[in-house]
Amino acid sequence: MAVAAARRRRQEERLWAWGLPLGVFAVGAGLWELATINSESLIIPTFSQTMVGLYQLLFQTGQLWGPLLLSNQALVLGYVLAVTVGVGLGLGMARARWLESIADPYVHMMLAMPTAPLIPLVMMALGLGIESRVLIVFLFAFIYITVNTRAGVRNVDPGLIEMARSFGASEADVWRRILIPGAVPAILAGLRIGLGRAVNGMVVAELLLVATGIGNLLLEFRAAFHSGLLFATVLAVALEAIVLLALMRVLEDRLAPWASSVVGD
Amino acid sequence: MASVAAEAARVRRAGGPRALWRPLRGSAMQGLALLGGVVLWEAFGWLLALPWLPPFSKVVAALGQLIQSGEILGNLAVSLRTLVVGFSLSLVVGLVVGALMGRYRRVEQAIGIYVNALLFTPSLVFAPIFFAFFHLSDWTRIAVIVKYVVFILIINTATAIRTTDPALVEMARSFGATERQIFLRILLPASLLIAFAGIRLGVGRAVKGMITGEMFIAFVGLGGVVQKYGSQFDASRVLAISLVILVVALVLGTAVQALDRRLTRWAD
Repeated sequence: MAVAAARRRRQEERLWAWGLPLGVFAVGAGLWELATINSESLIIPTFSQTMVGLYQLLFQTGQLWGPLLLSNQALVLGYVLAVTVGVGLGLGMARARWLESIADPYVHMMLAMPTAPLIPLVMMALGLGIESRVLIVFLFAFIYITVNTRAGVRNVDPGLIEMARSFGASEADVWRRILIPGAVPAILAGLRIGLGRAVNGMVVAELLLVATGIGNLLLEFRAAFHSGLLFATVLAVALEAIVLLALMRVLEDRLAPWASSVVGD
Repeated sequence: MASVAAEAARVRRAGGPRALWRPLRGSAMQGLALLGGVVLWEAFGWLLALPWLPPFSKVVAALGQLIQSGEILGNLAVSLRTLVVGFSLSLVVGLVVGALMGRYRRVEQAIGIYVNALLFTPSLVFAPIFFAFFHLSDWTRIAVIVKYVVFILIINTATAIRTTDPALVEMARSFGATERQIFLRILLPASLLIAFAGIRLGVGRAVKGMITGEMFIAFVGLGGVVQKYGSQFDASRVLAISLVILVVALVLGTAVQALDRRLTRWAD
C-alpha cells in the first residue's frame, strides 16, 4: 500500500517536472504566435516563421553551417589560448607572492572593465582578420579562468600542504598530489564560465568589429527583412551556447563530482 | 559590554593588532604595481610608437580635452540614465521572480530551466532582436542591460531564499508567524547576504551591457563615442574614454560593496 502510494507520488512528481516547463513553453509560443499573427510586420516574425526559418537554415538550405564554422574557429583558438594563459597565471598567482602582488590590482581592473571599448584598439593592432577575433575571445575569457584557478588553489587546506611537507614532500609533489587535485573543481568551473564569456566575445567581435560568420548572417537577414531567418539565427547561437555549457557541466560532474567554489558569473 | 564585544570582534577580524599594518603594506604594493604599469605604458608608448598604444601622457591630454569639450560628461549622463533604468528594472524583476522561484518549487520547475539557459546565452546576439522591437529608442539599450543583468539576479536570489535555514522558518511558524511575517522577517534579511553577491555581479554586468549596447547602436553614450573615435583610428581618445568607463565600473562596484556592508552589518 505505502509502496504503491510512494510510487504514485513519484510518478506525479515526474509529471510536474516535465509538464510545467513544457507548459510554459507552449504558452509562451502560443502568446508569441497570437501577438504577431495579424501584424504582418516585416521586422517581427511569428513563432512559426521563426521555427520554419530555423529548420530551413539548418537542414534545407544549410546556410547556417558555413558561417557557424567560421565563427567557431575564432572561438576555439581564442578559448584554447585563454585556458592556457588563464590557468597558468592563476596557478602562478596562487603560489608566488610577488606575482600576486603585482598582478592583483590589474586582475581587479580587468574583472570590472568591459572588454568591448578595447575592440577599436585590437582592430588598429591586428586588422580585421581572424587574429583580431581570436584576441577578443581571449580577452573576454581569460580573466575568469585566472581568478577561478587562483581561488581553487588558495582554497586548498594549508594543513594538508603542511602535513605533506613534514613528511618530506617536495614542491613538485605538493603540486601533483595536493594542489592540482584540490583545485580541479574550481578550475573546471572557471573553464565553464570562461567558455560562456568566450562565446560572448565571439558574438561581440562579429557584431562590433567585423561582420563575418554569424554576425554577417545576422546583418544580412536584417537588411533583407528576413525576420524569421534573423530570429532563427539568434536562436541557433543561443542554442549553441546552451549545448556547449551543458557539455561542460557534464564534464565537471564526471571529473570532479565533489563541491566547488566559484568566482565570477 | 556591547562595545567591548565589538572591539574584540574587530581585533579578531583584523587578526590581532600586529596585523594592522599588513593591509597597508598590501595597498602600498598595489600602488607600486599600478605606478609601474603607468611608467611602462609611457615608456613603451614613446619607444615603440605603435598606433594603438599612445603614451599615457597623450591619453591624459586627450581625456582633458574630452572633458573640457563636454563630450564626456554629456554622454556619461546619457549612459548612466539608461544604466539606472535598466538596473532598476532588472532588480525588481530579479528579486521578485527569484524570491518566487526560491520559495515555491513549482515556479522553479516551471521556469528554472529557461532562466539558466538564458543566463548562458551570449547577450549581444539578442541586440538585433531588441532593435527590431525598439529601433533607435533608449529601450534597445535598456533591454540589452536587462538581458545582461536580470538572470544572474534571479538565480542568486532564488539560491539565497532556498538556502535559508529551514529550522528558522520552522521555529517562526511554531511561534505563530504568518507566511508574510516569515517572508519579511526571516527569508528577506537572511537572503540579503547572498542576494548581494548577485547584485555586485549584476552591477558589473550592467556596466558591460551598457557599453556594449551603446557600441552596437553606435550613436549615443560613452560606448557610442568609443565607436566614433575608433572608426577615426584615434587611439588616445579611445583609451581616454576607456579609462572613464573603468572608473565608472570601479566606483559603482565600490558603492554596492559599501551598501552591502551597511545593510548586512548584523551578520558580522
